[in-house]
Amino acid sequence: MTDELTTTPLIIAGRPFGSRLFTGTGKFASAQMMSSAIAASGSELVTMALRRVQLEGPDQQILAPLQRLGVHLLPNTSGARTAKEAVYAAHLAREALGTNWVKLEIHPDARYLMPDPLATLQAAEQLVADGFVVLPYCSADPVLCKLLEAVGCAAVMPLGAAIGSNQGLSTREMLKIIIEQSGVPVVVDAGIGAPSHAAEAMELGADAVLVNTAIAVASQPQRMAQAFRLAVEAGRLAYEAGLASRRVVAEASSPLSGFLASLS
Amino acid sequence: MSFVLNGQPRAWQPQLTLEALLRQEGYIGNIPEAPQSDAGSCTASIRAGVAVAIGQQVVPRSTWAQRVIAQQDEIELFQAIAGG
Repeated sequence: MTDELTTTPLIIAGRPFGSRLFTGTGKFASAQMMSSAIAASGSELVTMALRRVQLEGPDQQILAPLQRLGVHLLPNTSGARTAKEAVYAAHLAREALGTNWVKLEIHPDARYLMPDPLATLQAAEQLVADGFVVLPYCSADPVLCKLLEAVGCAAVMPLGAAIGSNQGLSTREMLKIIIEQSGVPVVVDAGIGAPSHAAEAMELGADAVLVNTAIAVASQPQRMAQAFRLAVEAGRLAYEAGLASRRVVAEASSPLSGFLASLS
Repeated sequence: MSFVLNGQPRAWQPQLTLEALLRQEGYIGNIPEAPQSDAGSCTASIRAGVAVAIGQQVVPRSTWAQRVIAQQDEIELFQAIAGG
């Protein structure tokens, strides 16, 4: 038995995680703000992106603060529009950051940033063959998630809503099916705009959530990160404790013995 | 005679290695906050989070010192940045 207030650890590709909240590093006003927010979140896995160096541009120094925090890095393939580009980006990221973990994301259209399911599946298969631990950002499509699992992905990361949209779990019913069927951890990624959304995902049985925008653009990112931490812990604890089922009609919480009937 | 670095044409020099080019560009040398884990095969510290490809083939860090830049090489230099 686990401790009453301790939730079971998450394991992805053999690596245990004490925190079920993964965080992104984008959109923070400063590296200091990012660093303090990630520390407050308790997150042990944080995403990064890769870009061609702007030779005369300013140099972003966010890697050193992340390494000081001791978090694991999860480079993404953001910017890739095809499977070929994503595979190239993953290989560059492995060389740049010394990790074979990759968040595979391929979105050809900038308006909604919807992941290309066919290209994602194709790239996932290639990257698994190349020795990567692949965590694909994908549509909340139960069939696709099983296909991604079948080609060897270490987890699936279906979207709650469009990236950065803060709409919450607009794909809730599909997520329930994905969670029920999945043989690998399910990480709800994208669209989580409030701690309540994160708690909802965890109550549904998601193994983890990935949050970036909602923390990074909050007025006080550090406090928002702490709020997400608590929400994820609460949601997971509730899931493990076993939620009561929903009913159409009332069921009394107090005895209806009718002892007041004598007054009428 | 030239090669290309991140889209910019550069004058080609015989026997210029990738390591020497990266040193010129400030990616190898006395770099503040370079992590200890990053002490690769080069004697000086390498800026963390950097990867190089030539003709869209990743060039492993351990071979930078041996890789001589050829004319017409298309070199791309990448760096890890913030992202979600």
